[in-house]
Amino acid sequence: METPVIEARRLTKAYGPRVAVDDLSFEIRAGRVTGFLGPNGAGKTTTLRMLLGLAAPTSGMARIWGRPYVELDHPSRLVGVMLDASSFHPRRSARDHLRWVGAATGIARPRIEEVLGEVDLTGAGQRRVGEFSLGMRQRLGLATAVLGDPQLLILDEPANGLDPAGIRWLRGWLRSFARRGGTVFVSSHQLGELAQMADDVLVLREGRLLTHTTVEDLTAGTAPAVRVRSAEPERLATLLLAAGGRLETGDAAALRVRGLRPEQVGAAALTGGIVLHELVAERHSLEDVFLDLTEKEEDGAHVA
Amino acid sequence: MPMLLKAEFIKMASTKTVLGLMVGATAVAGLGAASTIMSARTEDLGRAVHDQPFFMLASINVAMFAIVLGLRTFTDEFRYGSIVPTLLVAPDRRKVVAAKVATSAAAGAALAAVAYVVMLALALALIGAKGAESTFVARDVAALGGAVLAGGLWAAIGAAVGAIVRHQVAGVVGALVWVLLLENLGAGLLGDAARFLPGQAAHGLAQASQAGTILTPAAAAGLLVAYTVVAAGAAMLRMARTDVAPT
Repeated sequence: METPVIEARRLTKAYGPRVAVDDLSFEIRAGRVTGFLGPNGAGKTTTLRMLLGLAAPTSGMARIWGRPYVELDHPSRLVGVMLDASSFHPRRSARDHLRWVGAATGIARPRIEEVLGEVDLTGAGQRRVGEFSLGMRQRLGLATAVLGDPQLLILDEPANGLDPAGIRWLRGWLRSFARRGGTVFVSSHQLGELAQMADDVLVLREGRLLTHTTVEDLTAGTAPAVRVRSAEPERLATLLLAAGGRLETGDAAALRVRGLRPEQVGAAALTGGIVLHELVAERHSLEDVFLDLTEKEEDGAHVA
Repeated sequence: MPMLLKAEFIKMASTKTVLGLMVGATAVAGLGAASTIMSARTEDLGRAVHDQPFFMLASINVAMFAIVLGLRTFTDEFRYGSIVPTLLVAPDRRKVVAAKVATSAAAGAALAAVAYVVMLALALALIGAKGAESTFVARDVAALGGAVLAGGLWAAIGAAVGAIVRHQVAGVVGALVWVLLLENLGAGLLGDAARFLPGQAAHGLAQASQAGTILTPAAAAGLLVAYTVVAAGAAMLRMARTDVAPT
């Protein structure tokens, strides 16, 4: 069987009584873009730090191509990492930052110029990083990550600080990296963005794995919300609740219903003789699924 | 390891920290020598250079700058979060400590060399201007070599302490308190045993002590190297056992 590119087995990290990552197991296969989702404080960054040898697990293990990151030969030639856009000396130029990284891994100078061009920072290469905007620092982080021409990218919130054009560029760039056989493991809270670039998704909440599946399967398994508008929203709401629907916040005239298909919503309105002005099945979104999953988990926890 | 050493030298050369500390050390050593010589009686200036008060003053002043240089090679990394890319590129933390200690030693020696050479040139000119006979003998050359070596070892110790302390302000303040206060208190309280303190060993290496017994240059060098090795070992243990978080 093919060795997973990333493997976590019963990975746990506790800081005193607080468990940041709890018995987490997953595998990431080659050539896939995997989104790593979870609300703030879910344990995503702690998991990435354990994968990369920056933090020691309390128990369990993390492997990259079957070995701990710290045991990889020239890891930055295999794994490109971007964890934080502020991990630069502010008085060092972008080019000098890439020079020392290149020197530590035996990467020649032409490659430095190449990656500066790839992230559109050639003109700013001599500027000190302290003068950079957040978006420019993100792009320098990406340049650092790809400097060694790695086969795996591990990125923590790479779209932070990028403008819409930058986000579109990032999306295309990551997809093209994966098409060339590269593997991407990317954490983000920008669910819409992940939906457009990820093949798989791994959802974490309070340090525990909620699900690890394809984006397609995840969104297919959940009924979309239905948006319905009428002149009698209060009476319609009563009928929809009676039919088993769950109502979400809407505006004065429109309701957002979950748990009912559009034809069931229409039938419920018909029984009350209510004229509908709008009946739309909203597109499945990863955001909906994510919220559903985390809410269900929360409800389960409360019941337990 | 050679690639890591090169990377560390590039880091040093690509900010103005080392240059600034070198200029500072040179200025302080020069000013110290000038004020000491100008206030001295002419007849007291006709001795070997390393035997004059300003040489010992420089031994203390240059040590401060060399320690800060070493400290900053590590504390800057923690302060700005660049320790994360450093450890991602070179995850063997012992090698990172070794590379930083080695490059700090080289930079500290360079800092001391520049500071002492400029100070000595100024001192000889001022001694001559005061009408004293300037003397620069073979032992002065050996003392200068010892002072340069001491500068390198101070910076190496500083780098190791920086890895242990991590917090820049705490590290710098602690180092200054050690060099300026605790070493002097120790010298007063410990009697002959004080010569085994790192600062006194550095004076021995530079043959710069004015009072009390000091170690021979060879013994002082051995002791200061031992302090460096112990500090580097402690730094490696500390680095190996601690989680590193992005800022």
